[in-house]
Amino acid sequence: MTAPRRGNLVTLALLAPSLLSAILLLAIPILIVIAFSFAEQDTYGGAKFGFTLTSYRELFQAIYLPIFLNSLQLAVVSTVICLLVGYPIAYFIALRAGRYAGLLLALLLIPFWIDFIVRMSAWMVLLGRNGTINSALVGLGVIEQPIRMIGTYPAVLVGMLYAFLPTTVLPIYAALSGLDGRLLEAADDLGATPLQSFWRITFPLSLPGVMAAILFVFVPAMGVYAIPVLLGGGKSIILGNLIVQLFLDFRNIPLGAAVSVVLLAISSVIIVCYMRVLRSVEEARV
Amino acid sequence: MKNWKALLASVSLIAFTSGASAAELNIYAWSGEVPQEIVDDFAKETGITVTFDTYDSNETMMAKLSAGASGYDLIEPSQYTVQVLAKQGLLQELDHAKIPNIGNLGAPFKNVSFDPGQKWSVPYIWGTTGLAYNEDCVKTPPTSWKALWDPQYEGRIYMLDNMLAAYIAGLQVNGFDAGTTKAEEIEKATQSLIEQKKVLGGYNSTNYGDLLATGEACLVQGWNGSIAQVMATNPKVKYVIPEEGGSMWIDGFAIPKSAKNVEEAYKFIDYIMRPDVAAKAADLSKSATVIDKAKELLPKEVVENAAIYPPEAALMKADFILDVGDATKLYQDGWTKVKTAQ
Repeated sequence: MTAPRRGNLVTLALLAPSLLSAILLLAIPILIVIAFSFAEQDTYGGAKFGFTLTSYRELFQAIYLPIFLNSLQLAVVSTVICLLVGYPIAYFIALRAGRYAGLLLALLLIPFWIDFIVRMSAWMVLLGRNGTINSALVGLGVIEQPIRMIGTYPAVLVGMLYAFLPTTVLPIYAALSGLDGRLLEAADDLGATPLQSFWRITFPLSLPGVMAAILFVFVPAMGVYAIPVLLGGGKSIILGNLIVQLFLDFRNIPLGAAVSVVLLAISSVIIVCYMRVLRSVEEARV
Repeated sequence: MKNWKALLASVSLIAFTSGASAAELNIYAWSGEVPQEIVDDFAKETGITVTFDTYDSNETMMAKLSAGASGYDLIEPSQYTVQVLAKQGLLQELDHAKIPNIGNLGAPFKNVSFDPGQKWSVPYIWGTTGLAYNEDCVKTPPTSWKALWDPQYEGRIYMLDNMLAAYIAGLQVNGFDAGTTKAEEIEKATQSLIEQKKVLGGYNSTNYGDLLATGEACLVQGWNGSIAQVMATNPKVKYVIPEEGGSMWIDGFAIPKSAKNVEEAYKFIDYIMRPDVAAKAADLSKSATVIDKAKELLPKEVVENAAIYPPEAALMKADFILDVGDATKLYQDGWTKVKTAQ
């Protein structure tokens, strides 16, 4: 056996477990969902395999448009908030925290060992009418009556920020921690103000991290389900809720599958755009 | 070498024990209706290993069943759900010889309209859909569904996150019967439910009892059992069947066609119809039992609790929702409009 062929076989053997699980747990389920989206629906909630575009036709009715817009808006707003809060944190940990950087990163990640639903329920306790925040504010005399937070849009945004903050901070931190300090010293020597060197050196070099952060927040935020239900009172329906409603409440498997396929398509387009932009950023740097 | 032997021994031990415990039962029931204690008692008495999962809407359970092998041996559908599942051919016809305690059923539950002769299901508990409030913030006791539209409680009103339940209020507040199949009545109810969103804190069919008890909510639409469980620890919480009627429901046990542990499922049905067990289940879940002899065993405060056993006059006006057939689509489109309205 020649060396290169042997090398290929070794590569294949090493890749086999992940390749196999990717096919079994990712590709096949997605193909099943796609097949269901073209299936027919019978009166009592069964799905008959076949090829019909009924579900897609139904999906593009005016009634579902607000749901797409709601989801898009929530994803955009959440991404912007996560970046505004996450960037300074990543900057501090990467460039200012010194030997405490590891500790800070650990503190950021430890809460994520706890189950997601439990963490969101904790926010329900914090934000409740008799919750920690209201009690503290009333106790301090800031407000007279407890204010309503659960069941509002800002409460949803707080939940989104909390859920997606680590996925914002980590890629930006990774990009910033590789920053060559001598570049900043050089800028300083050449008379750049701190703000100038931030905008012309630090920020452009952190862009790949920022873009990864956008991707990591925006894509899952489009399909989020539990946060609007638990913290927003389930009043404004977004794609994640629509999929649950179609599958579980309406037993309309084909339509639910069609919504999932459209969501998947939107996410894929975003990922392709991300990779294009990333490439052009990296080429510009060379 | 020693380690290998130990590992081998423990692996064969696991294989052996898992092979030996043959008797299993997988139950899928309404959350809060079958107390964990009853399940544990049953497991202890029979040696059957019970897996117990819960749902908070009939539709969720139906979705899992109609999607194929769900792995469940025993389910707890409400009345209209029994009809739908039977029509879909997803239930097994019950063999009454395997349920000796079936004779304990109270007279009104022996021949229910949705399942004459208990062909597909055996009733377990019954209850009502009504409204509940917290006295701390609602000073005048509400008597009508209209309270759930009252702007003075803006942001502190919660509706059940359940299509048919929400439409009970939406239809009855307009003077229509819950469970109607008339398109124009459903449309009118849809408009009322959209109108209501301005004052709602949210939709919730899981922990609305807690929201009410903590004062997060002033008024909620709810099922009496969950409310009665909260009332047991918080006397400020009250339950009313609205003057428009509300609805009455019966939840019972049925065996899916795909069930693997059928004998064990029968054993559980028979077990829970034993008067002492039925009484314990009713007491713990704060629900009304369908077994007459069990009612006699219940403590006075349960039997006299109007949230659990409402006065007959209130029950006479309650609607009983049956399968709405093709009108389901009208409800679904309406409900999507309600949920997407800003």
